Amino acid sequence: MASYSSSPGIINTRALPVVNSTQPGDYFIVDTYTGTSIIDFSNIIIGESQVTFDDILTTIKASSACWNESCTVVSDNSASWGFTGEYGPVEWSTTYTTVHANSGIWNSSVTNQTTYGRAYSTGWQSGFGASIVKDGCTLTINHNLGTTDSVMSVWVADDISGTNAMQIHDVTVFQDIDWSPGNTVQGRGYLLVNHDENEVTLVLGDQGYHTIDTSVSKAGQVSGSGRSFNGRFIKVVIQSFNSDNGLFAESDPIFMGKLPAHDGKAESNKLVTTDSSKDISDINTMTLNGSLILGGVARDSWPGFSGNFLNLDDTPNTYTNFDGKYVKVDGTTLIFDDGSAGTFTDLSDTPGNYSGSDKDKYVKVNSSGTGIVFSSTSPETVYTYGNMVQASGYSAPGNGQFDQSQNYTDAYPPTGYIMNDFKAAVASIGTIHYAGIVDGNDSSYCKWDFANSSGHGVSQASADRVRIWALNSEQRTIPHVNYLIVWSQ
Amino acid sequence: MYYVCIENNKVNSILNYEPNVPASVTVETISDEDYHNINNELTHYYDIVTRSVIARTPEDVRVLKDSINPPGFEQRQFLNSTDWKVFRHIREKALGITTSLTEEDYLTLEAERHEQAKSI
Repeated sequence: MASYSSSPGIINTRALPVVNSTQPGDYFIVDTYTGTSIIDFSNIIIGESQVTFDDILTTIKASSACWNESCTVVSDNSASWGFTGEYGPVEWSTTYTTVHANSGIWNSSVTNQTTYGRAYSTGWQSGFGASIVKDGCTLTINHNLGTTDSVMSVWVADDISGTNAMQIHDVTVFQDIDWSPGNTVQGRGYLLVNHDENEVTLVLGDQGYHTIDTSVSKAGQVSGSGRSFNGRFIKVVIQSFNSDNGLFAESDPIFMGKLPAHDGKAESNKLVTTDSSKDISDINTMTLNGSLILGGVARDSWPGFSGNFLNLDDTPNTYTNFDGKYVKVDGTTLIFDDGSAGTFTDLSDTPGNYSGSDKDKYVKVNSSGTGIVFSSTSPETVYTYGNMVQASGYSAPGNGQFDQSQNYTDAYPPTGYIMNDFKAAVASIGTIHYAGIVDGNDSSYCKWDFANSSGHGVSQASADRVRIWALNSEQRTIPHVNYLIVWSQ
Repeated sequence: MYYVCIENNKVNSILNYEPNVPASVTVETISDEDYHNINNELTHYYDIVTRSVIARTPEDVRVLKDSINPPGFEQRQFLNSTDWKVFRHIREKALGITTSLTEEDYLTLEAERHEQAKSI
């Protein structure tokens, strides 16, 4: 070892005492053109050119001139922040306009951690919670898969896009093993130190991770020097297995539609289809056929959904020999049926039964045109007739002669007919009785007219009956009248 | 079966068919025999109050039938129907021509007419 000493008038700096730290108030010796000087530690300014992370600092300065603890709002569009310190990283995009500086919740706003059914991926991260990715760090990851029946793989890359990604494996231990979570492990790779249903904890090697030498002379050999985790990105992928040993459980929600950003990929509108060119805008024109697969199961094998009527669980399984049949509910299934309603009285718009008085009646449409009723009369032309004593009474001799308020009988349409069905009427005298000598001032009447409860002489449309008179002057007693009326529908 | 049509507490008609009546009319049914007794024999009538067929008293029946066939009706009919024979016989004798009725036949006719006239 060389020896350094000071001669009179000459001071060799290497001969000065050595200290292991610098405290406020200390000075540095500075060699200047004007001679050797000292400078207070607090006056030392380290510029951008003196540091190796100048590029990163330049980017931060350009986007945020006031980056310190008092800064709560950062200008948007601050892309490529990259590794930002204790609370980074931030996947910065134009959708972020406000960031809480120095806040532990930054990571919670990172959205590229994604669960797919029974699989989970952290996406590329440079930190988890308060822990940043660096040599010897402890990383705790909440996957919430609810099971320890899972496999895990850990990946490392140079940046958030996964550049130079490679899978890393269990640690190669070098020395001084301390397996406690949070403690440094002297080794390369990682060690899984906790694995429960919803969370895993792994410790990264203090010496970084191994790489493979790809040179011709050393192909396949482990590189002699490890690569540091510092400043790199980690992605942890965990896949669990349910009781069906498949990717999805029956209770898992099925995702169709917009996919969030994941694995470093931007948000997309892709449908879960076998045709990657289709997105959600194509859903109205897409043909859902056998090529559609959901959860690894082709559509034709989905329970209860098989593409046509015959393949449903509660329908017939063939059309053979069922031409012209109807589909009818039979308890809890559908069956083909002749469509017969049973008997006439089973129909909803027919009489509900045959009573004794319905014997020999006819069937006709009711007056409102909404159903079938039994009728005593045929739908053909009918005739009503009578030889009636004038039930309304008669005028006493010498009084009320030609009294049309009496001396009549009323004939109504038969059941099933209305006055509009009236076609013709004929009246004739049955018997009239004179009270005295019939001479030149006596008359006999026999006639009919339309009438209603208000009287006679009304129109057919206003009438509800036909009134028939037989009367004479000087009546002795009740006359009789004959009539014949024709009704036709 | 017959149908008695009642309106304003008055029988408007008795029909031999089921009628389609307005709301102001109610219909009651009676037997064929009841109808015959009301319309032909005149021995019964339909009572509005009890809505039933009631037999007339014998006196009422007699009065009613007398109104149709008053006492002496047949005798009057006989006299009226034979008046012309009497007038012809008198006219032929006045004219001195041979009478259509013999004198014996004429007296027999007048004797019968006299008997009928006495019963009125």
